[in-house]
Amino acid sequence: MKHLSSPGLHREAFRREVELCYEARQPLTWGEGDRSATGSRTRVRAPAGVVDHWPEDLVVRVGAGSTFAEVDDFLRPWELELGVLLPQPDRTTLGGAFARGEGGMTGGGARSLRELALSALLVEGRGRPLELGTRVVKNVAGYDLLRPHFGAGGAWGGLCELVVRSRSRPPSRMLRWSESSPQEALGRLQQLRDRGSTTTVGEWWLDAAALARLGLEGRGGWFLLAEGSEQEVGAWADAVGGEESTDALPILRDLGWTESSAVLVRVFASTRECFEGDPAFASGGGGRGWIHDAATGVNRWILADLSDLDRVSRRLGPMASRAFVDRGPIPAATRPAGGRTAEWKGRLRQIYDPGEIFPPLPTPLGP
Amino acid sequence: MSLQSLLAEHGAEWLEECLYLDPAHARAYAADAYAFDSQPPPAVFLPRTQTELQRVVKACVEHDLPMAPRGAGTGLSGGCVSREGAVQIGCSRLRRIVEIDPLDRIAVVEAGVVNLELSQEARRWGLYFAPDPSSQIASTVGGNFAENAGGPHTLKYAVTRAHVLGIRMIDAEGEWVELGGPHAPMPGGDLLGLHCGAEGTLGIVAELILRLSPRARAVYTVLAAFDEAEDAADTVAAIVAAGVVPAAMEFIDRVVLRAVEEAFELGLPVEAGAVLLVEVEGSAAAVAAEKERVLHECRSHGVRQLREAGEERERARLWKARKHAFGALGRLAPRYATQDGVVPRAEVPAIVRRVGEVARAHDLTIGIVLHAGDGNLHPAILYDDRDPRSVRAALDAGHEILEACISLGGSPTGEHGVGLEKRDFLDRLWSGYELEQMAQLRQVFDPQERCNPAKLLPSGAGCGEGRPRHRRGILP
Ligand SMILES: Cc1cc2nc3c(=O)[nH]c(=O)nc-3n(C[C@H](O)[C@H](O)[C@H](O)COP(=O)(O)OP(=O)(O)OC[C@H]3O[C@@H](n4cnc5c(N)ncnc54)[C@H](O)[C@@H]3O)c2cc1C
Ligand SMILES: Cc1cc2nc3c(=O)[nH]c(=O)nc-3n(C[C@H](O)[C@H](O)[C@H](O)COP(=O)(O)OP(=O)(O)OC[C@H]3O[C@@H](n4cnc5c(N)ncnc54)[C@H](O)[C@@H]3O)c2cc1C
Repeated sequence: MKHLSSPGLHREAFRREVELCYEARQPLTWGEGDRSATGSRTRVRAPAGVVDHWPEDLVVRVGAGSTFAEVDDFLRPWELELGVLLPQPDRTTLGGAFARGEGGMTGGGARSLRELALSALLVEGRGRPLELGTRVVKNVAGYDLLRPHFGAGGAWGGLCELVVRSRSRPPSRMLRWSESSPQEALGRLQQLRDRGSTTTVGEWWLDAAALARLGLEGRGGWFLLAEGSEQEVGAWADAVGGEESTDALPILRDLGWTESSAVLVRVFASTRECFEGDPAFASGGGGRGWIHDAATGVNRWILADLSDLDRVSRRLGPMASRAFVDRGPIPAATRPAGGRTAEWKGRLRQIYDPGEIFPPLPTPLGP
Repeated sequence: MSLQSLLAEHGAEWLEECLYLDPAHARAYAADAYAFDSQPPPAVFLPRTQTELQRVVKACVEHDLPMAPRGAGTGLSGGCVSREGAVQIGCSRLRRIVEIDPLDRIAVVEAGVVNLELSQEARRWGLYFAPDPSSQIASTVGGNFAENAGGPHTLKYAVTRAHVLGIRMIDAEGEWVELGGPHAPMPGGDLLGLHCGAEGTLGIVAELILRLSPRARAVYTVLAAFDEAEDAADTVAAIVAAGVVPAAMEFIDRVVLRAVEEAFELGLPVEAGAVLLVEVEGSAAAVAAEKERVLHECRSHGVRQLREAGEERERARLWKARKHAFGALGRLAPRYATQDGVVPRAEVPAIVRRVGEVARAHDLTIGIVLHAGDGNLHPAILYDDRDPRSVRAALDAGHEILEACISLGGSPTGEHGVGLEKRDFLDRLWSGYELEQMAQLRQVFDPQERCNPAKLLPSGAGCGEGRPRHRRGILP
């Protein structure tokens, strides 16, 4: 990926597209998103390319339409990377992932895209540009206007550029797995944690159906990912045991994304809820597989088709209010959400999207 | 409506245990740790339970009383100081650790829980709460959330926001609202992230769901002394460029070093121009590798002395030099003002130089402590509060340093917040349009401006007029 030759022109083109839509009250959608909901929406794509790079600060400013793979390729000569593990890095854009509220599948807290993003250039609903934050790695003076846009699906504005932190590329990475039934899962997780300590950056439990997609057999199994120096990762491998799984990481990462007939649901739930609280989880839910992500609390459920969605949301019970269709034809249901937060979100829409041209906020499956 | 009408209407019964109207309380709650502003609040509420807290807020709403939330009052920008007749609502009695779930590494705690107490409690599971402001012995998690507090270890573990999964708060209408939950932030717009760092202007937090982190197996701490402050500053960038992100990398200049040595006799290298306190942590293998790289960079930048902490006691001694730095400065002058600015890491040498120039220009002594890895600097400006010229010089010097931070591509606050102190600094950083957006955002959550009035935004925010911006222009 190259530096954007003239970022000013790209910014202006992006801004102008929004302004034109506003003037014509023409609904739009961002990037490749909302395929099922697009209809007559104009598709507006953010620029792709590096705008600025400060390697000594571990900070890079990129067009929000840049993909993760492009940015990582750009950073490679400096031995840097973004270090965000997301499905389809060669197609998924930083703006899209941020707007979807995708933090990444490793680390939780400090390593989430939510925290890596320091600031952005946003275009609001009249086509006016807004600079949200600065490039320093600490607090924003005043309200941090970037934050509401994480997970907002582009409902409050289009991300034109993002300023994100990078990090040193770890010399070594290893994925290991060991079989465990849902019943044994909790105890095994605790054991693995006790032994693995801070070197572990990812922890996933896959049910039998998901395992089979990786070409592995079993009632289910824990996968652990470590990063660090070779020596460190070697010591970690001795401690956690299990088997090394050399090629599985990209498959695990992309499960459900590469099949056109699969629907992918993200469920936000704790480990205990998954294994103890809800029998649908423990039994695998009857779908095509599920992955419980113990490090981030974001679980992925792969379904055969949309008709499964109803069944799953019923089985999920109250947890359905924390389940989002992440990929696949999104059902048109635009449920009027109640409560104070809905009122606030409505007012934010009036500020950021007075012409009502932006896509709707993502809504959960349940009430 | 007034405080009197609230008292008359509610009678004294339920208020008796949590309302203080006496001058002693008014004095005690008149200020935080920011030296230049104070205002006794007309009343101090110290609710003991969350139910009582909501009752207090509801009563204030009914009687149209503005409210200033408060944690431990360790803030350094006047954030909790009463303005526009705001009553003080202190959360320091809400101190329950409701639950610690070691499996999901989550703690549910009330807002008045002291930061360090939580880490001490979580220790038995090998966990801790990562944000560690130097005030952690006293500051509350509610205050940490409201300021999005950082600390020495922010370099590796990020600011408070990364460690808060959810909150239960009372909004400006007195209603309960929950944001987030015991899992990652969900799609639908991250209002939790927005509330973190909003300095108590969007509601009062009663309870938080916090992420706990596993304690590292191995830690290595070294104090590296350099003849010249610039060499120490250059070493910071070099360590990061060498691929090491230490857990902490603190810069302490000669002024502070000498004050600390005088106060605590830690055997510090007082003849040095500056020292770096560097800590790496993780697995034993990781620490061994990073230690070598840190030492290599120190040596190639002309380090004059390296003092390594072999054991926990020595480590604690080295950290004392940093954590008690401000306390020690009290010996050098009647007063000191701690500033807080931030620059891109690569500009650390430039800002260190600039602080020296400002000190000389105003004939002041300014000590520097820096969370150097984050580019977050805390100059301590020594002055004499009995001499108006000295006070003026200290204020001017502080402003010049913040101006310098902005012109180097940084910001006038890294972690202490805007509060009262920096309200009228924001228009140096933001355009009128951006400030107008912030003012509108506030209206979304608190249209009456009841929560912590006259804080965080400039007095004229929203009018669209701003002073010329120093920030490097990026828009056409
Ligand atoms: C319905 C659907 C089906 C798919 N099917 C397949 C498939 O079969 N095979 C396959 O390999 N891949 C598939 N993909 C993935 C797709 O091809 C792209 O790889 C992916 O969508 C790119 O992701 P993105 O991160 O750019 O976000 P997008 O999908 O472009 O958008 C995600 C969300 O973010 C918002 N958004 C995007 N950009 C911005 C911005 N700049 N500012 C503000 N908001 C923004 C959108 O409005 C949307 O709500 C599918 C994606 C979708 C949505
Ligand atoms: C010696 C010293 C060292 C320090 N070191 C650091 C440091 O390393 N890093 C750092 O970030 N800060 C530091 N600080 C500043 C200060 O300690 C932090 O800002 C801290 O987070 C404030 O917590 P508190 O409980 O004292 O809050 P207060 O000072 O009481 O309040 C701070 C702000 O939070 C709001 N607030 C408090 N509680 C609530 C609540 N429950 N709901 C809503 N709003 C609330 C207040 O209205 C106010 O705006 C230091 C201060 C001192 C005195």
